[in-house]
Amino acid sequence: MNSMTQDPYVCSSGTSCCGPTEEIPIDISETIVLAGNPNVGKSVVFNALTGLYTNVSNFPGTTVDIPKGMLSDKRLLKDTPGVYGLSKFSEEEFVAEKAILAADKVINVVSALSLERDLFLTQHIIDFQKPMIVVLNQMDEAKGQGLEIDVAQLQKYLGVPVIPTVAITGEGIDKILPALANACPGNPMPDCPDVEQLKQLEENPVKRLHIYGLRRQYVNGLSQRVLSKGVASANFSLSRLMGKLFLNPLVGVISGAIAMFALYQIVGIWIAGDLVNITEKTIMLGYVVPAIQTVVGAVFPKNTAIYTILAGEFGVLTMSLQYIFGVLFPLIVGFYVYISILEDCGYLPRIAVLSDGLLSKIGLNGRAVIPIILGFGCVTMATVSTRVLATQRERTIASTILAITIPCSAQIAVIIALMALAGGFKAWLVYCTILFVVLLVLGTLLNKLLPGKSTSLMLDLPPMRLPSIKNIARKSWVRTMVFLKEAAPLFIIGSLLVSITQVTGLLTASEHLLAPITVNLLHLPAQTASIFIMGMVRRDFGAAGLYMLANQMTASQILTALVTITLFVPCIASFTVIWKERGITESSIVLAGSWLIAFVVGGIVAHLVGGSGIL
Amino acid sequence: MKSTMLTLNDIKTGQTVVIKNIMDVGIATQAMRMGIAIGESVTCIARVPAGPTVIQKGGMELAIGEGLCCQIEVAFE
Ligand SMILES: Nc1nc2c(ncn2[C@@H]2O[C@H](COP(=O)(O)OP(=O)(O)O)[C@@H](O)[C@H]2O)c(=O)[nH]1
Repeated sequence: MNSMTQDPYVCSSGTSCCGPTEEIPIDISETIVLAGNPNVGKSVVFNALTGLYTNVSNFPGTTVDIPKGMLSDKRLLKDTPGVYGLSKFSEEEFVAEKAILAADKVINVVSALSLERDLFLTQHIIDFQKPMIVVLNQMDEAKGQGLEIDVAQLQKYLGVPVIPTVAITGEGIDKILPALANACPGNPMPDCPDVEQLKQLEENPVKRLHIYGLRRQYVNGLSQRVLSKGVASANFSLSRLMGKLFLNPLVGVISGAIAMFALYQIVGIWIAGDLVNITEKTIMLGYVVPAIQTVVGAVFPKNTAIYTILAGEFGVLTMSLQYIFGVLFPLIVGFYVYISILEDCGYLPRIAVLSDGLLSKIGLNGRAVIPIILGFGCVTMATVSTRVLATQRERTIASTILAITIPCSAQIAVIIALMALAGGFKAWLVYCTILFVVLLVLGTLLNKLLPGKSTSLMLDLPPMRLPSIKNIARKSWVRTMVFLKEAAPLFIIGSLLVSITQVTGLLTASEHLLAPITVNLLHLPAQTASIFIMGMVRRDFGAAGLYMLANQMTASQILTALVTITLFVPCIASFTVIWKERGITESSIVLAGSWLIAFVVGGIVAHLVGGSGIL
Repeated sequence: MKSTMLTLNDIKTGQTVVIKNIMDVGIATQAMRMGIAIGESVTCIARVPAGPTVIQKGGMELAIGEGLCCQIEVAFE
């Protein structure tokens, strides 16, 4: 154990990779790859084998990260995104195929619930003659459904070891690593060409379809021979019934409304309001920031530029720490716990199905609900998660919509307070309608203008389950860590940039530059210009700045300002992420577009709402 | 036996149909891997208005968007 590192890492397949925690030793004796369809319990098996806390997900396609961990004897275990075959239909499939074909040995996790479907991938790997074993997971639920699988027969037909398991209770997990010693290439389907020839043939789409047809037929027969059906338990019928219920649009709307309200209450009010008040105001501003300022002040006098950059209002040390730990951390944890619960119980994929119709109008499909829901938490985090979308086109549309129309929770907390001053319910209604219309128009336009075609939904729905607390804790924790690792540097860069503009006087200069727009076009007090600039540093700073001016403004002015600030530039961190994910051209267009849209829509609101007196 | 170009978009909840043709090779290939192939029968368990069709086959439930459904021709047995 001593020569190998204990520091496993989680790496994002979307980016090149990962920095300081990458400490897998070079002298790896063997690379073992976990492969399987989505939702078969691969992540649970991975965690059970490596002890690494990693991304455990229930939503097909969310495993964009490739976690790696060490086993004994310098063996490296790699997880892969869930796939149905080795066919490069998406970035994730590309990643998975590459990893599987490069492996020394493959552990193929198969769900006993969907044996017939899953065996296609198994046979595909066998036909490519990779030494492998099969882990037959979710045996408990298969029993509940009344499914009997003849494991010995299955093992004989496949020609590779088959280990039945219940990964969530750990049953059978201890048999996996010993079985690896017997891993072997197995029995290819009848008349299967040799591996090199097969790979060649599968490069040709028409021949590939033919071969897939033969493979499908072969594994269907195989699964029929080993599978017998008994009586399903009451539990299973309940899960089925719930599953169907949540696909009903009316139930969907009601449960969706409840879920949104819960989100608003928990994340918007309790976390973004009450908890952040404690973490940011009491802890960070009360103790940590003054302490840093004292230390920095002891070295650099208070009125020097270095002091301002390090420990001033937007200082690299002060504001980034205050923001990352005081605001972001509680919010992100809260949001990830929330979304992980929806995911683990199987509710999230069903929301995806229900929202697919609407989303496909704007060039997205149901999968995009995840980034959009996350966007109400933190647009930066949501932009990273657009990687779950299949095409670049969809990612562009989703990131643009997120950046422009979705207010993040830091902002929502302040918006809620301001709405009360602007006329409560009526103001909310106008505000939400405006944002929704902008979202639809923007999405429709992008869908029309962008070249190419978006993909249509093809989503496997896992059964509804009671969420497992352990899974949720693990998922939320890993996701939070991955996100902070990725985003923390960006927030630090952001505050560095802002303190530099502040020191050089650019901040005040740009405030003056904006004033004509705010006063003449938006009919707002001159000081609001500085608020818009602040909104770029931190979206909620902008909104909070408004709050201080609110007593001098009319209801329609408040509404105008809120609409403008929501549509206005995303915060610096989210802009940097868009830049990283989407490139400089696209991020600049989003930036320019958000200014334009914010001021045009804000101007319209100022004239229509201000003139009509509806508030 | 009326098999005049019925697609997955035209079936109702509760109906069972046989897949007759999948027009796009890429989609046929993807569907084949999941066990949705020509000649297989599937049952519609939910239809979202102006949205996906959810079909069931064995233990698997699969939601297919409108844009894909119109490429999948089916017939009643
Ligand atoms: N009942 C039961 N549930 C399981 C088992 N293994 C995994 N799960 C659940 O199946 C879901 C999908 O598991 P996950 O590891 O996220 O799947 P992955 O997509 O293959 O990584 C989660 O909700 C798990 O809690 C099992 O053996 N029995």
